[in-house]
Amino acid sequence: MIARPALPAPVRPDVGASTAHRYGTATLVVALGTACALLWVTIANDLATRGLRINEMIGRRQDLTMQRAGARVALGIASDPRRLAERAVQLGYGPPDDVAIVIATVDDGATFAPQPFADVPDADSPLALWLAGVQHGDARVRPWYAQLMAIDGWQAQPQAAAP
Amino acid sequence: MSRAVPARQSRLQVLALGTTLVVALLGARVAVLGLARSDAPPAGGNALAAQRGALWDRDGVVLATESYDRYDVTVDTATLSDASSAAGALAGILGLDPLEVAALLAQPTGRWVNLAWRATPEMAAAIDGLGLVGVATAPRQSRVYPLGDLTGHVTGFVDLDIQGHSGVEGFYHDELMGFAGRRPGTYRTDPLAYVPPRDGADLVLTIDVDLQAAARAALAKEIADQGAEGGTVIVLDPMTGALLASVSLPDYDPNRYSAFAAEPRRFIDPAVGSIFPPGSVIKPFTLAAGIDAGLLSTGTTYNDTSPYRFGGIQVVNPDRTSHGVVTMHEMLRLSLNVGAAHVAGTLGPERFHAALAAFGFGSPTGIDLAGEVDGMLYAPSDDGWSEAYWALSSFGQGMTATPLQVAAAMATLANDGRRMVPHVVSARIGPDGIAQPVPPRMAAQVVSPATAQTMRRLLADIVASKLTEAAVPGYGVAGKTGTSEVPSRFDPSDNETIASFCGFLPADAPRAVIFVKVDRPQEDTTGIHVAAPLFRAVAEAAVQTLDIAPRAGIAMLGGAP
Repeated sequence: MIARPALPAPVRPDVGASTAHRYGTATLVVALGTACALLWVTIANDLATRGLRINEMIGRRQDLTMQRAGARVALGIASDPRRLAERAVQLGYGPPDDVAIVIATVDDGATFAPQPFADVPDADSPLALWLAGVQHGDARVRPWYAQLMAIDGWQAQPQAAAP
Repeated sequence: MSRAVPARQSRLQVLALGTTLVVALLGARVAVLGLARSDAPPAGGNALAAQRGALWDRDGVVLATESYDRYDVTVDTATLSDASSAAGALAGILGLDPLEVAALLAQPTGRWVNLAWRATPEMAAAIDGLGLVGVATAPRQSRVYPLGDLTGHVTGFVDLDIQGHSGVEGFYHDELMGFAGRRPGTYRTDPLAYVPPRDGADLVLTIDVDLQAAARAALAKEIADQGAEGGTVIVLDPMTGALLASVSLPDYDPNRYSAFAAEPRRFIDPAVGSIFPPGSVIKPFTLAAGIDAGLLSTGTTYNDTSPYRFGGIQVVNPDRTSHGVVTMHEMLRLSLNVGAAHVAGTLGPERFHAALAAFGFGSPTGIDLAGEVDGMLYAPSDDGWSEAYWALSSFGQGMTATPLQVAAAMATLANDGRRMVPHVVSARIGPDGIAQPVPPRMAAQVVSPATAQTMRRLLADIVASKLTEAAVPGYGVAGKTGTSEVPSRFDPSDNETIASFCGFLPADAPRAVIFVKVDRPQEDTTGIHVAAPLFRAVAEAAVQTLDIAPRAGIAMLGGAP
């Protein structure tokens, strides 16, 4: 066998001190660039997220605005005095033109402000209860203390004698 | 040296990893932006519409507000894939001609084509259900007046371009409109580009819709009963000048203003925008001017001879008779033209003109409603002035005025001679929800409080002794009728009348000044028979809605003059 001559050992680049320094610089530059890019991405993403969030809130505001507008329109229609008058007539109350004015006087001659009342549509209505006395009873209203004293059992009772 | 190699490889690996991460993050951001970019901006661009302010009555009833129950249908022709099939589907839903829609989409004038601007919610839902790329529906901002024609003349209306016309909408357009904003950038991702819209201010009006409704019903009944052409009712608070009710018929529904396009005069509010010869309702101001100048008193007498030659014309009394020696009190009670001319003659032309001008005649009252006119009151310095104007104006025929001018002048007498500027807005509510009241403004002290009180006493006596048609049981009422003549619509050689009444109650502590006018009544023609009953109907409604306690009038004023 013919012995093959030994191959020369591969030449490794001789990394000197200056080359190592360049690598270090390059590494630092890339790291800085990466950091800057990351910072930029973070800020840009944050801004974009804020913008999109604002846009979402704009949409939400518009939804609420539309709901409010619908409620206002419904409220306005329901508050129309002509509709209310019509509804009152349907419920059995008299039309405004037929509303009577009662001026009730108390014992000392003072005059109450006029109170309108309608025809009593329903005996169960609190309004009917209040009006019944005015409409069918005495127009002269007794003072409150006279009414109070008229209640059974309210009259002052003599104290029972001590045993 | 051999240990340096793995260290370098490690650093390179870290660098590669970092770079990969950065690239991945950048790619992710690009993807996010790409997704956002795919959400194409609407046809309206980036503008954010501001809310137009609402209108409220004094008790919080909504008179005008925004609505979003109509939709715009817009097609982005750049992204629409199949125009012909889309045209057929859209036309079917919107009730349009498919061929016209197809032609519109095939040859658009721009990228965006607006197919409809008042589509119903059902139509919009059906179109959204088609899922067509490039077809968008968006709610459209429009104005709604829930009470319709009840407050049409006061509110005015807003057109399709959100431009206010007439009434409050016209006068306060800029304040109601607000300022539009901008979305956060074209792709919704730039918060620095975001400009929030500033909504318009809400306005609280002085109008009371209950009184408004009662006044409108009473006016409509009177017009129908008298076969009249139209009429006006105004209710003012004399202390502040607040307009509590203003009704004129015929009116219009601001929700359907386009239906009245053939009658543009409908959009003029007769209360402030139409003039008429006020007639005898002017006489109290003529007499007040004479008393305030110290030239007359209620007991001053003159010899009433009709006809009376004055100012180059023959002045005759309404009853065509002479009344001999009468006092000024009696002159006003009988509404004698000759007596009014005597007062004007005593004052002289300059002083008489200045007195009526001080009451507000001949110039706008300054109310915050669009379309107010100034009426005509000829001054001696005007070209073409003649003494006839001096004579005729003394009893309201040689001049013209708006109904509001007459009401404001009567409010001056009711308010101890202080003329307040009529106004219809009592408060502004800004977007921050804070209400700013609008304080009443006084225009001038026209006559002394003593003169005003004397006139109130005279006017109360007139109602109590002569104009019982205007009397309201339990209340002292003061007022004066007016019957002015205008050329007939049917026979130019004949005359028709405008019957009016202006008064206030309670006479001693006025809370409401009421002016009523009925145009060209056919059944009866005089203010006493046409306008006075209408006044009473409105006054009875005012008593209830404004909670005015009963007060006798004359006795509290110190007896009859």
